[in-house]
Amino acid sequence: MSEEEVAKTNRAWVLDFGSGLRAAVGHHEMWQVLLSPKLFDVPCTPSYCGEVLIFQDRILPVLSVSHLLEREKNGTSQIVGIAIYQDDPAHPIHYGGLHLAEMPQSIYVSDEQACDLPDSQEFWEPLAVSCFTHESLAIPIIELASLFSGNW
Amino acid sequence: MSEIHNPHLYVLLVFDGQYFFIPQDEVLSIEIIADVLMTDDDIGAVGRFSGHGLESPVFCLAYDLSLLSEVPSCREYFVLLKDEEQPLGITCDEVENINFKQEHFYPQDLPDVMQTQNSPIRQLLFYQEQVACVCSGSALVKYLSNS
Repeated sequence: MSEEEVAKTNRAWVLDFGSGLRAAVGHHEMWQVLLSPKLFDVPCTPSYCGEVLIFQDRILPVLSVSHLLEREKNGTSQIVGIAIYQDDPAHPIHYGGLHLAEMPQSIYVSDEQACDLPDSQEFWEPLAVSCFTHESLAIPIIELASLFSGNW
Repeated sequence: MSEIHNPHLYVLLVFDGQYFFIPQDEVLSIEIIADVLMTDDDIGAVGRFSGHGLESPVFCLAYDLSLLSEVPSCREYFVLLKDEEQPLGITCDEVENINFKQEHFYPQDLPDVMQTQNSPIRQLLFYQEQVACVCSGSALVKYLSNS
């Protein structure tokens, strides 16, 4: 990859949430991946986010995007990505867990890959800030702060 | 004589493997289950307790805070929560007084994405290898009144 090409690209993670749901986040927004972490149920919580885990002395929510968008429980995955997000650049960093069906895939994305969010994926609209084509698929880039705010 | 308010004092209730902390200020008393008159009740209570000059409904909760109609044999106590209308009891297996400041407990707010309108849970705390729920007594009374 030439210097000019590198300058036009950004690194990102493609996250597979299961049920055919894939989205991307910035490379700096995925902190770690945990395999089979101990999860704790919390009562009276939304069905898509009823679990927490302990990470570096913090209690983090663990969210199932496939359950949120498809109303299906992603019950088999033992992979949890630890995401980082900020509500505002002046606010502290927050951490949150995401149920993943596969290990995140690190990719390079260039401006030339930008595309519109397809009608078939309009359910991403409240969370997507943009979209790009990767391996012939439209991949939305999602805003983690919105996802973990609970307000869509 | 006015009561001394100490915001660090909590009562720990354990039932069905669930750990619940309630501010001690909002607990009227801790009683033994043998003092409950078991009755069928259309509000979901398992029985009634006569004490403190009032008759109070007593509820039995499962791990997910759903109401149980029968009291498991391990429920030895019930905690009577203060309320303007009438006190309200919740059965538990174990009960203990905990001083958060002395124990260096620092509960975290329930994450925004986990909040629901009817949840009485306000904070979470990692305690004895479990995630315990912290809630106000009034929120728990409201939750039970709406169940």
